[in-house]
Amino acid sequence: MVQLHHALQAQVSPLAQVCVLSFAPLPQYQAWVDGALFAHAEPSLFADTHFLSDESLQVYHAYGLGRNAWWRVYGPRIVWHYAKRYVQRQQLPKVRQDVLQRGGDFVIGADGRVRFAYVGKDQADRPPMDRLLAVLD
Amino acid sequence: MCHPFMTRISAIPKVGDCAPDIDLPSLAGTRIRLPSATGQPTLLVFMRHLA
Repeated sequence: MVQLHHALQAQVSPLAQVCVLSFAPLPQYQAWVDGALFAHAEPSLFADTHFLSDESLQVYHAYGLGRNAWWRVYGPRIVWHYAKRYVQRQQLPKVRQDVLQRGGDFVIGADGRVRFAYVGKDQADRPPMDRLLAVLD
Repeated sequence: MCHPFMTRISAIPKVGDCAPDIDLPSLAGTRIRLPSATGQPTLLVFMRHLA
C-alpha cells in the first residue's frame, strides 16, 4: 500500500487532486500516515494530498463499497504475501479494523462525473497505473 | 454538471454517472467537499484496513 501511494503521488498528483480515504478513526489514521506511510516516503510528496476519514463508512457505501467475501480477502495472492513475510521472519500486521471492507479507486472529472471506477477483487488488487494515467491525460 | 442531490446511490457508480457527494474531515483539520470546483479531476483512493 505504501509503495502504491508513493507511485500515486509522483505520477498522479500533477494531473489530479488526490484524496485518500480511510474508515479508520482520525487518530489511528494520523498515526498510520505519520508512521507507516511517512517512514517509506518523503512527506513533502503528500503536501497536496487530502487524507480523509470516513469512520461512519457513509462515503464508502455511497460508492457501493460494501464488505468482501472472506475467501476473496484471503485469496491466493494474500496468503502468498503473508507466507513470504512469515518465511522472512517479518512481523505480520496487527489489524484493528474490518478486514472485509472493500476498497476502490475512482476518478471524478471536473464536471462531477465518474471517469474511472475500479473495485479490486481482493485486498491486493489495485488498478494498473497506466490505466489511471490514461484517464487523467 | 451534476446536481448534488441526484447522487444518492448505493451501487458502484459507472463511468458517466454523477459522483456521490463527499463531505469529510481531513487530517489537516479541515473538511473537504467533493466534487469541488477546482477545475481539476480528483482521484479517490478508498483504502482497505490499515496495516
